[in-house]
Amino acid sequence: MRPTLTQLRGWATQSIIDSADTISADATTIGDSISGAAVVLDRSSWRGCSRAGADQALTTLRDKGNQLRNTLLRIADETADAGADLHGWRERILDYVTDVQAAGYRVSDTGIVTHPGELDEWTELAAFRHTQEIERGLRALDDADERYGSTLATLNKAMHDLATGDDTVTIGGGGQVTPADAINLLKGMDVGRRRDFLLSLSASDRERVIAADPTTIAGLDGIDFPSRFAASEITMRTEIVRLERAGNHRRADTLRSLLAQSENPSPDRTVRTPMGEDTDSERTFLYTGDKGNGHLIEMVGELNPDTRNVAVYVPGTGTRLETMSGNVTAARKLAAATDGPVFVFLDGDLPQKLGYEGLGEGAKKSWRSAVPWGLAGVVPTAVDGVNDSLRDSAADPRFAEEMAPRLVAFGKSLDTELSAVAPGATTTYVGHSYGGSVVGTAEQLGLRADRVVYASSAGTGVLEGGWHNPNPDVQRYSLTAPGDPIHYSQSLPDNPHGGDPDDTPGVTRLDTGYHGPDENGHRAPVEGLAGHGSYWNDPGSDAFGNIVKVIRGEMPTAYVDRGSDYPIAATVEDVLVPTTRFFSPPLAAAIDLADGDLNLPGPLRDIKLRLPGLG
Amino acid sequence: MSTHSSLGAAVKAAVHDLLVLDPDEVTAIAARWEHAAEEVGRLAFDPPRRIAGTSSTVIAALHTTGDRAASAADMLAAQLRFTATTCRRAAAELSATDESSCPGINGAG
Repeated sequence: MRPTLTQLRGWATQSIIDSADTISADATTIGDSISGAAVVLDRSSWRGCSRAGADQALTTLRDKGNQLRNTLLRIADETADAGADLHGWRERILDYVTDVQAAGYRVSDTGIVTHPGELDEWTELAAFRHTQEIERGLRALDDADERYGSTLATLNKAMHDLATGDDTVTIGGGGQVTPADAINLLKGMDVGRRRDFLLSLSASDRERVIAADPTTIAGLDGIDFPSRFAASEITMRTEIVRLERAGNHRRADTLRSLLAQSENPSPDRTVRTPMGEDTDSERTFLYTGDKGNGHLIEMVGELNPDTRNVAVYVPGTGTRLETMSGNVTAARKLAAATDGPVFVFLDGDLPQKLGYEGLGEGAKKSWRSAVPWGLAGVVPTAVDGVNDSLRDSAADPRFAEEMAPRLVAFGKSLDTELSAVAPGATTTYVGHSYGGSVVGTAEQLGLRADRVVYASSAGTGVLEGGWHNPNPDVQRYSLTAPGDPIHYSQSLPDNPHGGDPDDTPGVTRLDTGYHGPDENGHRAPVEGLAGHGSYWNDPGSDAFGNIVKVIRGEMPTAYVDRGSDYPIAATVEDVLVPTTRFFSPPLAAAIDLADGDLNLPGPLRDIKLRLPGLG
Repeated sequence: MSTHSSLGAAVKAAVHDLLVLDPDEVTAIAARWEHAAEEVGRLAFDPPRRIAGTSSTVIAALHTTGDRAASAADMLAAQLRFTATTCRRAAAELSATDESSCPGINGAG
C-alpha cells in the first residue's frame, strides 16, 4: 500500500509515536483494574462453594485481562517502533523532495522527477538519479509500513479472538487448548520440541500464548528467539510500571531507555546515499524481570539465514544494567566488523568493585588500632580491612559460580536457535576480565563453543578441574596486553579465578599489538592499565582485529613480545635492586603484588592476598 | 470477666466457622468489581483510531486496533459486571433467607 507524496504528507507519523504511550497507559489501567478486583477477593473471608465459584470466575477474568493488557503492551511496543521508522522515512523523503524542487525540478505525486527547462544530458541524468533516490526511500518506507502493519494485524486478530470469547488456541493435530494450557504443555516438553510446537501455531495464536505468560516464554529455553524477544518487551514494559511504583525510578528509566531504538550495526555505511539511511532499529533482549544488578541478554545485530558467525560477549567487573551501554557500543562495533550478531551476556550479577576500594578505610582503622594496641592491634585490623575490601569484589569467585550455569544454559538455547535459523554458523564466546572467569567456569560446566577468547581474563575458571567443553575441536585463545595489571592476578598461585589463560596448554595467546592510528598516523601500543580494555573501543586496534578474526574463523596474529607483562616488578628488579640493594617501602609493595603476599616485618607471617581480577 | 470475654470470642469464632459468606463483604466485593468494570469500560482507545493518513498499512491497522481493543475492553467490563451482579444476587438471597428465617426461629423460642 504505497502512498503518493500527497498521501505521505498526510501521514500523522508523530501521532503514531504518541499513540504508543496512550495504548501502553490503557493497558496498565486494565491490568490495575483486574488486579484491584482480584485483591479484594483474595483478602476476603468468604469461603465455601460460592467462594470457589467466585475464584474461578475471577481467574478467568484475570487471565483474559492479563492477555488483553499484554497484547496491548506488545502493540504499544510495535507502534512505537513503527512510528519511529515511518516518521524517519517520511521526513527524509519529504525533505529530499523539497530540496529537489528548490533546485528547479518538478516532482510528480508518484515521485518522478523532471525538469521544466531545456534538458541537457547532465540535468536529465540528475533528474533520473533523483527519481531513483525517491523511489528507494518510498520502497524502504513501504517495506517498514508492511512489516509493522502485518505484525499489528496479527495482534489485532489475537485481540479480536479474545473479545469474541474464543478462549482457545489450535495446536498440532487440530486440538484446542487455552493459552495457559499451551504454556503448561511447553514447560512440560523436551527443550528440543518447544520451538516446533510454538511455531506450529498460527501467528495470532502464538501471540496469545506469549501474552498469556510473557515472563515464562521469555525465559523458556528452546523457544524461538523472536518469540522470546517479543515476550521480553512485554515483561520490560510491565516492570517499568512496577519499578516506578516501587520508587526505583533509576532502574525504570534505564529499562525505558533500552526500549528506545538505537544504532543498528547491520546497515552498510560504506555507501553514502543522498537521502540517508535509517541507522536505528529496535533493540532485542531476553529479559525475565528485574533482578540484582539487572539481568538480561541483548542481541546486537541480526540473526538470519545468512549469519555465518555469532559471538557471545561476557563483560567484566562493574557492568550492570545502568552501566552496560559502553559494552553494548563495543558489541555494535564487533557485530559490524564480524557481520554477525553479538550477544551481550548479563544474565547474572557481576562484581561492582575491584577490591582495593576499602583498603584506605582499612588503613585508617589499622592506624587507630595502633594507638592503643601497638603492632598487636594493627595486624588483625589490617587483615580484617583487606578481607572487608575484597568481599563481593572482583576477587570473589562466587559471581562466576552463579553466572556460569546460566551461560551454559544460554549456550544450549543459542545452539538450538542457530541450528534452525543459521545452520553451520559458528559460536565464539569472548570473556573480558571477570567475564573471562565466567566463560572459563562455564567451560568447566560443559559450555559448548566453537571458539573461546579469554580477553584480559581474570582466569580460566573458578571451579576445581579442567574444562569440559563437549566440542573436542574447540579453539581457545587468550589476549592480554603487556603491562595489564591483571597479569599479576592471573599468575598468582592462589588465583581464585583459576589458571593464567596466557600460559594454559591448548590456549593460543594472541598479539594485542597497537591501537588504530591517531590523527597524526601514530599507533600507540596496547599496553598497561589502559590496555586492559581500551581496545574494545578501538576497532582499528590489533587486539580488536584479532578478536574479529577469531569470530570470523580467520587466522589471528599470534603473540608478539612487545614488552614485559610485569613492568613495575621488572623495573624494580632490573634497576633498583642491583644498584641500591634496598627496597623502599612503596616499591616493596609493588614487589608484593608480584609474589602474592603482603610482607610483614620480623617474625610475623606474611598475609596471603587474594588479589582482585582487575576490571 | 475474662471467662465471659473468652466465651464471646469462642461464640464469634464458631459463628464465623459456620457462616461461609458475609453478605456485606460480598456486596463490597461486587462494588469493587463494578468499579473495575467502569474503569475498563471507559477506555475508548481513541488516539490510535484518530491517526490521520491513508494508504498506510500501519495506520489502517492502528484504526482497527482501537476498535478491537475497545471491543475486548467492553467484553471484559461486561464479564466483570455480570460476575458482580451474580455476587450481589447471592448476597441479597442470603440476607433474605436470613430475614425470612427470623420469625420462625423467634416463634420457636
